[in-house]
Amino acid sequence: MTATTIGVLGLFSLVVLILLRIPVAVALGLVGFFGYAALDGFARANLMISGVPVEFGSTYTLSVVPLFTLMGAVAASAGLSSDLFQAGRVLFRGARGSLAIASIFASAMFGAVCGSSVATALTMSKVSIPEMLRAKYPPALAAGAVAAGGTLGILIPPSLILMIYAIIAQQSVAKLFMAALIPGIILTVLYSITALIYYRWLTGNAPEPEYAQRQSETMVRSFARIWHVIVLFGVTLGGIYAGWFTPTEAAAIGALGAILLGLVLGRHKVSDTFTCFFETILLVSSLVFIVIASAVFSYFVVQTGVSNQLIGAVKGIGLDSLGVIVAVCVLYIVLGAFLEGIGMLLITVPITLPLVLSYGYDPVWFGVLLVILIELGLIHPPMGMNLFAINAVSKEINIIDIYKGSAPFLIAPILLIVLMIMFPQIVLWLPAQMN
Amino acid sequence: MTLERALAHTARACTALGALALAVMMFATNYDVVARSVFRAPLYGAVDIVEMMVLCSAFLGLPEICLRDEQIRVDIVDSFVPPQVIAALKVLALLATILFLGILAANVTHPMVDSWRFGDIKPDTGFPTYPLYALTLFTLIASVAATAVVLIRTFRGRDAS
Repeated sequence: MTATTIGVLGLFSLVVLILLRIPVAVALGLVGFFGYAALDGFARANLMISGVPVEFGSTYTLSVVPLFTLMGAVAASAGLSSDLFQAGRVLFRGARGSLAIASIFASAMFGAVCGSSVATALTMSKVSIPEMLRAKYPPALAAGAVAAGGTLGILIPPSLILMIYAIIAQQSVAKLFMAALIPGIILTVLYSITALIYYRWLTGNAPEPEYAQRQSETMVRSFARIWHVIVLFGVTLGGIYAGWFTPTEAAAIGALGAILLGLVLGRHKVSDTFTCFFETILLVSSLVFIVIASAVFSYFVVQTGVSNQLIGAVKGIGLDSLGVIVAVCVLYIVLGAFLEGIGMLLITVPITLPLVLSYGYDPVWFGVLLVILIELGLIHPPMGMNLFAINAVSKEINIIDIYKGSAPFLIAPILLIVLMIMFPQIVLWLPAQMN
Repeated sequence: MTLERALAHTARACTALGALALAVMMFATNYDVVARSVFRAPLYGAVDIVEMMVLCSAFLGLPEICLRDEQIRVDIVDSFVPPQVIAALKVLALLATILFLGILAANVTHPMVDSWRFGDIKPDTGFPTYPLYALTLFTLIASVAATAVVLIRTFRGRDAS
């Protein structure tokens, strides 16, 4: 059996194992280990796997994951989301669909301190969906706005997916964070425009409900309530951009800052802080376990030479660089229907990254593109983790309405991808300005 | 105290130690930034401390994850197959988990022994590296035990029903 055949069989087995409910980490690790053994024998496979846990588990770059996760957990526990939603309500007061836009705005701001999409969707659905339903908004719009807004959590830095991509693709976390910032802002605007149009489409020319307009707070006062989010985001991301801190240092400052602000402002108790630490450790352990297993899998993939065969085959077909990137996008959209985001990233990047690099694409640009493609998977059925998160919290909205409501919001990330392909500087300009 | 309860306490204690490691990493990094910027006296060995603590944070939560059976998995098949098949798949997943954790644990022993024999140390702090391998080995063994407990629990649950 040739190395390529073993590689293809390995990939096929991996997909089968994952679909058979084997944990993603275990499937990656077993296929990687036994595949490597099939190529080079068990002695070499044992040697390869022996160094992986400690080598990968003690990487300095990896430290951004627990620290930024802690910052997000504290932000969620401190109830920042309701202040952000309130500020959004005041900011967009008077506009039709103002509550949906406020929810998207609040999600984007919350994403600036929390790197998880599902956590953002869960937190925001508790705060904004009841308000939208009270204002008699169509349930589908309420669910769609929160599901779409939640995806901003993994695009606007700090992003958990970007951190993991940085580790496996050996790219700079700082550059990836900066690269995702402008696309994150554009996507927030595109989602807001979608909410505006969708509201009009669903309600005809009906005016904004009175309940949604009922706001006595001034703009200054409502923004004064979210100064801590602005400070946290400014210090962490600003510090990285200015070259004052490494991403690990920024994450540590952000985590400690979030804890202190929460305690000083009376937003959470010391016991809540302990809970955040425990939750972070459990989340990080399961993530790092997958990263370690994916390292084993990557060694196997590299050894098979499948990536080189794929590059040769694609060049043989005569696809140009645009054709390749469109094909990669279609592949990820299809995979996103069946696979969870991090798993999809870890399985595919060892194969797709060399392919896109061989066509001259920038690895930082590709990382941001991957995040947007993963976002699509979070809001389209059947997987759509954000949709399930909303379904779990908002029992009054049925899953069909959630599916229907998220559908119009799929246009915005696709439009952003088109813009990124046409104007790569949307992604690459800001990292190039860094100190 | 039953074996299962003892394991649950051990797993919780490991998670608590992981949380402590995370706190050490956060405080050490903050101290390093402040001391470097204000007093021009950075914390010596800050990178070593972060690397050691991130390893602890990464592995010490694993036994509790395994005990709760909360690893990331794709459960799309649940909507298409009968409950008996799902139960069988759960058992298969637990066996596969034990196999992979066992392979990792068995292979970590070699570098641990080598690290101890050759006196490997961290470059800045001079801290020996074999305790890091030992900690990793301990958490992997604890995770195998935790997964085995879940497997036994699954069988018992089946027998009871």
